[in-house]
Amino acid sequence: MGILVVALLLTIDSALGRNSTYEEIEYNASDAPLMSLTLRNIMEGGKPYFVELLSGKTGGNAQNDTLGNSEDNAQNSDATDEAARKSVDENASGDSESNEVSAGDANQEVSSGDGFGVSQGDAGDGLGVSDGNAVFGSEVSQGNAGDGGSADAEVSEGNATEPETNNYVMAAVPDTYFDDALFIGDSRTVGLFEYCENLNQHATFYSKVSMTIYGFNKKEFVSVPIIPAEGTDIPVEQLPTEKVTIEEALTRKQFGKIYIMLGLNELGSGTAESFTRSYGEVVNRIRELQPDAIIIIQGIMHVTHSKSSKDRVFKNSTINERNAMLSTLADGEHVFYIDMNEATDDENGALGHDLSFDNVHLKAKSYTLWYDYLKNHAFVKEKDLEENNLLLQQETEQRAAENAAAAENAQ
Amino acid sequence: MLQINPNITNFSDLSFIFRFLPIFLIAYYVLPSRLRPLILLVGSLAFYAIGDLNSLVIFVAAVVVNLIFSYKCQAHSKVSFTIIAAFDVILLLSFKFLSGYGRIPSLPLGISFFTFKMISYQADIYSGKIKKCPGVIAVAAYFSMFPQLMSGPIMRYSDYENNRILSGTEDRFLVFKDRLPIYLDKLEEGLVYFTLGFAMKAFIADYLAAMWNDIGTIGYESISTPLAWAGVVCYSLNLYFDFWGYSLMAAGIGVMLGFPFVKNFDHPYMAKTVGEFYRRWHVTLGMWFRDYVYIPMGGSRTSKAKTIRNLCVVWALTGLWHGVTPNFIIWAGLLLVMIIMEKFIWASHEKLLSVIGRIHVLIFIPITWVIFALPVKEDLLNYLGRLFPFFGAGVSVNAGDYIKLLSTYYPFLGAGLILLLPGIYTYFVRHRKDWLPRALVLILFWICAAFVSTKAGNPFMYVNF
Repeated sequence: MGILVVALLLTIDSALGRNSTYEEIEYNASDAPLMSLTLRNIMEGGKPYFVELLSGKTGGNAQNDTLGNSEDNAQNSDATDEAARKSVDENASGDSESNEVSAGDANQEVSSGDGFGVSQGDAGDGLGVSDGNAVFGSEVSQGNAGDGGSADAEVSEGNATEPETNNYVMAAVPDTYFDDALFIGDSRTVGLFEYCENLNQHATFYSKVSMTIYGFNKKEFVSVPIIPAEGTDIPVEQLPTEKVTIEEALTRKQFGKIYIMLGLNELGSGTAESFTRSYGEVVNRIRELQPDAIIIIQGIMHVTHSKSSKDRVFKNSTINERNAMLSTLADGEHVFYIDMNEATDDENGALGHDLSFDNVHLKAKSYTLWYDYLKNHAFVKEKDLEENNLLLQQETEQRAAENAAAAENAQ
Repeated sequence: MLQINPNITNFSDLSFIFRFLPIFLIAYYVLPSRLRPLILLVGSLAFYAIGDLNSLVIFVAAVVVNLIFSYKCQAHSKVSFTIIAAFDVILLLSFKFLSGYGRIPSLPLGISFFTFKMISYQADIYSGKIKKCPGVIAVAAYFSMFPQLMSGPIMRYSDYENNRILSGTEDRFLVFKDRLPIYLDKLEEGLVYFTLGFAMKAFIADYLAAMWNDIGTIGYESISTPLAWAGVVCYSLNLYFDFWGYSLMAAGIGVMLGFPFVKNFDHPYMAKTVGEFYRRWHVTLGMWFRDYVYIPMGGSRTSKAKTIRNLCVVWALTGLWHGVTPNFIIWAGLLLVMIIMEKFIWASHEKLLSVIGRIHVLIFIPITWVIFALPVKEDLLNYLGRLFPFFGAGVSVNAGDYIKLLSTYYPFLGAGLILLLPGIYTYFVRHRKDWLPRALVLILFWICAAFVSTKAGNPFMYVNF
């Protein structure tokens, strides 16, 4: 009996609240009963229409609203972001034709709750697990003193005297190129960090599962040392850390190259224009915060053909449209555009079927394709080209020697 | 035109729970009682049509052919019985082979289950267990009844017959005022089972499926050995709670319609031997093989050699029933070996059997599930290679991966492990008429509904078999 009563209440609640409290939730009558509006709203940290109505009558509406928000910061703090997430959910619940798709989406749903990251072997070989939202490779600033650091010094000198030497050319680079590189991205970049040892020993990662371009100054997940009070004299390594947004983190530390790959989680919301506009704003903000860094915009990686042909939202045609728009943000001077899809596409212009299990993410062993692409499509200052090539040659020789030694050992 | 969401055939989807089921139940209980078998038949055919319209023809044809032959079987015609049994078996096997080798995208909905129900019905009527053909509509409704259409349980006709609501004997002469409490009582009792199954599906199985999916996303060649073992536990629990959850939901709907509760799982991981495990796991399938294959062939009453032969036949068929790809044959073969060893070698030492039996159930059976889970040979070899890493190192393994996944999914693994013990479930079932468990079940139901509302309907795993 109880179930019947509650069901009736919920349906009335959903029906009445449909145009007010729940108007942001996309609803499709063929997908789910009306009462799912109330349930979904509760699951997303909101309150049912009735409760809101009651608290509105007692005059505490505005106050309650802020309370509601603070309870569920990550979700309610940003309307656009929320809308994006919802439409992904909506897609998931509507996507009934293909089993594998819904399984994948359910999985996203789970992981988006709390992105965990394992950060491995950054300083040594020790396993470090950062709970909550992980920031990776925070040790890089120390490792920076090598080639990257000296190169930077040269840049600033060069800047002062003859700015025209800042011409960048595309080149293949050694691993050490990424010592002062930062990678910003979503779950796919998290995978790049977790399964590409050659890269994560060098670069820094501000990546998070279900990250979007709108989360740049909203999601607090990058852990950085706190700013000590004036006059205290504690070494950086011993400072406690705090969680800040990417925007805030970029004010604390400077990088030489900033790679971005975002956009998959945004596919269901906005248009290519509105997405590119937001993306452009983020790029401009990074330019302000990191005037000496180059920004490399990576085109969004495709999904597999089977996903693209069945899914309402995750379509390669949409990805291509948005990538084309993103590429116009590049100025060839400080902002560059590369498209790693060349490395992972199959004959359909989709993510290769064998490279992925869930049709969206690369398998662990496939990440080297992405990394090799990055290594072969890096941007080097014209005047540093010679030094770069020398380093690359050294690395290649060293690798060859290591491989030979390993082969000998194996015998 | 309003599109009908195919998820409506998924018991854990809100559109099934709040649309199909209530509409059906109202029709079933409000319309005159003599119409009930017809309503059940029509509702079930509609259910089938929504779920898999393309296969409806196959299903209806199978029902019609079986109905025709059932009259011959009633006359104890051995030829007719042989023909119709062979027809059902060939029908099932041919689709198994077609889908196993990728000729058709999926099996016709529920074919493994409805063909088995048909065979059992023909055998029962041939042997005289069912005295006389009960009428076209009643039998067609038995074959097609929607609670058991997709993935069982494989209910016997004797249980179907034992439904005083369906036949109207319970309430035919009562006025509506007196009927209502009977109906509500059935509905509430059914809902208790349904909700318990719903919770297993929504809280445990779906999350473990997500974890299993995450393991696949990494790629089986790249998981660390601890993760490979966690994956064994994860998949075993996933399959168990998915199918047990489904079975409880199906049986619960059956109870709502007045059928007796059909037990399909009885805490299999508490079993002391593999043989016992499979008397407690998917009980209706095991009983089917026992009653219609094993015992007619002589069971274990004759010589040792014949017992082994009979076991071999049963397990070969069990493997085939699950799928025709080699992994299912290996899976069934390993179980067969363990069962034969338990029966004939370890059985002489009671103490030895109790230890080895537990090892079989708690360690070897979970490993056999991985074989069961991975039909592609390379995947299976990769997985086993990571499980037992002395065969060589994996490709781009992140040694910390298991910490990441376990820190996300440990509540669901933990809940699953706790529910392996019978305590909680037995409490709810034993006290299902008390107010406290009912209140808990009510809360549980709505929490599940809220959880399910935010995500896509995850289909049940046994739909594939």
